[in-house]
Amino acid sequence: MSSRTTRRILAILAISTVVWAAGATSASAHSGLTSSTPADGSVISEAPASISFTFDEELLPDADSISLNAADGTNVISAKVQPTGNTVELPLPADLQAGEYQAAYRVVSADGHPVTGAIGFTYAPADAGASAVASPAATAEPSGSAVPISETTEPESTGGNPWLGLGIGVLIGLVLVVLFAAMRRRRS
Amino acid sequence: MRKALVAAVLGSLLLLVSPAPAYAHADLVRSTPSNGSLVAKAPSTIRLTFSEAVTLDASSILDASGAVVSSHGAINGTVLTLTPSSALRPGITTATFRITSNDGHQVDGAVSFVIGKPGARGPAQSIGTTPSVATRLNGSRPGALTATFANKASSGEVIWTSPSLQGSLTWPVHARGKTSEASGVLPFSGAWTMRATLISAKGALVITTGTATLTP
Repeated sequence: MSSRTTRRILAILAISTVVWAAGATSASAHSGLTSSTPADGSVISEAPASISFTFDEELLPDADSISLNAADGTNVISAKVQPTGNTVELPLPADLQAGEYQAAYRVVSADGHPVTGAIGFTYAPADAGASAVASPAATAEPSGSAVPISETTEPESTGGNPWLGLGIGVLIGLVLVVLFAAMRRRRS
Repeated sequence: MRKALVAAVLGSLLLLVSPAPAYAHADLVRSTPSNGSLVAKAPSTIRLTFSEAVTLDASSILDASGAVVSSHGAINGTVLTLTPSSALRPGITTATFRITSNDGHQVDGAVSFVIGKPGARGPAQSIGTTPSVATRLNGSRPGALTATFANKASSGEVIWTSPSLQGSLTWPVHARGKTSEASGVLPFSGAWTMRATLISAKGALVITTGTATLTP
């Protein structure tokens, strides 16, 4: 192996180490909600067949549940759900009334921590004016996000861990020392 | 040369392997005095126990006015011990912390308790919530208070935040007949935002938010 090749390999290793280290901290959080159907704050004209929540990592099949609540706080439907990979889904009854809803979830992230959260949506059927649905004007009001709720149970901010940073720094240093030693040996 | 290469490869592999298992947050498990409690005598230290070893970024003790009381915070494994420089005075006392758990997450939190006699609670107030869950707070002054929810929850938590407090206060939710309730201490006057997660015995979940206002 020529020393130039070796040096290149070492350089690539050093760079990939730095890249990996930079990405590592963001990967170690709890499950976070990445999307939902219906979307948070959406106004939909067709009754959803189901509610689904998708997270940024796999969920543990441990007491995951989804609840649909009306604006007056009453529970419309609630059930335990089995996750499929990163997603949990709850089928809805076909006769959903027009109105504002909260869909709340409790899932268990891969690290074993329960995570709760909720989204809000408004169901405003397009034919509400023609049909017998009560007070469509009131229910069709675009409410935006009905539930301004963040998705974690814990108050927390994502800061860096000084020890993790230190460890990464030391390891990067070691790689650089090895690189430097290799180059010196080549020179002598 | 080859040795150096081998060392670099091994070093990188070690780096890739090491942080992976550390995927957990640290939670506050308990404290002495406990959050929301009434204690007859001023404690000489406040001890906070976390679910895992943490590093301490900051801690403080606040008196009833929100002023910082001189104190020293030291962490030993999972236990943070706050030692005030002089004896704590009677009244509402709050300990705040900012710690980093081994997955690199920074967690802010606080516990509040009352030393000596609880003060007057003032008139009860109802809290408007979204989605609407009839909610009543049994007072309107800082101190030991109870929130009651017209929801048959058997577990859950209420998280209180305020511009006057860094970190948040968490009250556990218990069943109380056909309603549910949560108790604790709100230490300061002003607006407090409540986020209540109410979970029924069957797992039905509602998350409701609202704001209470406390007067001095």
